[in-house]
Amino acid sequence: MGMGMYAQPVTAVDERQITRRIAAGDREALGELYARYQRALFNYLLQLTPDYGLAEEILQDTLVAVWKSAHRFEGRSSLQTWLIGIARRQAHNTLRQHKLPIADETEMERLVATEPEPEAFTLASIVRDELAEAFRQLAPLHREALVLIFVHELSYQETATILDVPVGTVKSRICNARRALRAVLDAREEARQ
Amino acid sequence: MMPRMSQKNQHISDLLPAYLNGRLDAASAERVREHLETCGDCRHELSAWEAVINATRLASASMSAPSPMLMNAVWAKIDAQDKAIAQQKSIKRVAYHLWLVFTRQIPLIHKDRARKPRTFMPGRNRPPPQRKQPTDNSSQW
Repeated sequence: MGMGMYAQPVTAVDERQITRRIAAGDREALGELYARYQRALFNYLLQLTPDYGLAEEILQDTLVAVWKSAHRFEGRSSLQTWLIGIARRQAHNTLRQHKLPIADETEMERLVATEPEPEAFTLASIVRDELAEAFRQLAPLHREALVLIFVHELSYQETATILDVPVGTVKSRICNARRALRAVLDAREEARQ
Repeated sequence: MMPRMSQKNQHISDLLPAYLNGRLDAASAERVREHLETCGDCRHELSAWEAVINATRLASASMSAPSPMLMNAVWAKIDAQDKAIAQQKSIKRVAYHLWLVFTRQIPLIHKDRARKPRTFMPGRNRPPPQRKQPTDNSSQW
């Protein structure tokens, strides 16, 4: 079970207890859940939309959905995976309602996959700030996959469940994200010269 | 699940993200470690993935937190939805009672109609039967 850099470690028993309390109408329990996962969820949502206000609105809707559907949590996945899954569905609904673009996944995979892997791959030599800035320029689809795997530390299987794609797609998506990061850095380098 | 690693000398680049994430089982992680000791290409790959992880984590760490008042908005939404549901239930309850009252009135309406004398229209229906007036026999006596 991935804990990531935000969520505090919790046992499966704790997770089921907190969702049972929420299902029973315990408002304090929803507050506890929010305190525990707010940063993880908000960070994830900011990968899908750069609009801070919209991300907050989606986070609110996510918590309302958790309040209403806590009785459905069976502990088959970790609570974090379940929450991110809800947040993702809420985000897609909201983005559709606001008529904001949702990345065309097939097109995105095709475009990046055709780019050759540079022979001299020197990502490691680039300073961290520049890397972080390049990361922010990635497509939401790539940022989403990288954050789920490397920030929330979810397994390929958990990530595949959230994204509703096969495990192989998750693997290729993070490889494509790495290539895209390289491409962004190359473009910045060229612009400097 | 144990990832497939057929040859000890085969490159293990596709396992590196899971290795760095601590998601490989102990045996696979050990094999990756052994391979990295002898393979410069895979060590280079490992460094590249480490840089990607650093970029991802650094960018994530610098993201701002949601507003401290966010939960207030959540409770307002939940309360508004609960109120709307309660109102809907109340409307349904009233409608159901009205329906019950109405359906109970139907037999009474039918009974009432059956009792009403029909209007005689010459040529279209028969005149309503005349009720016999009770004879007052008392006057004979």
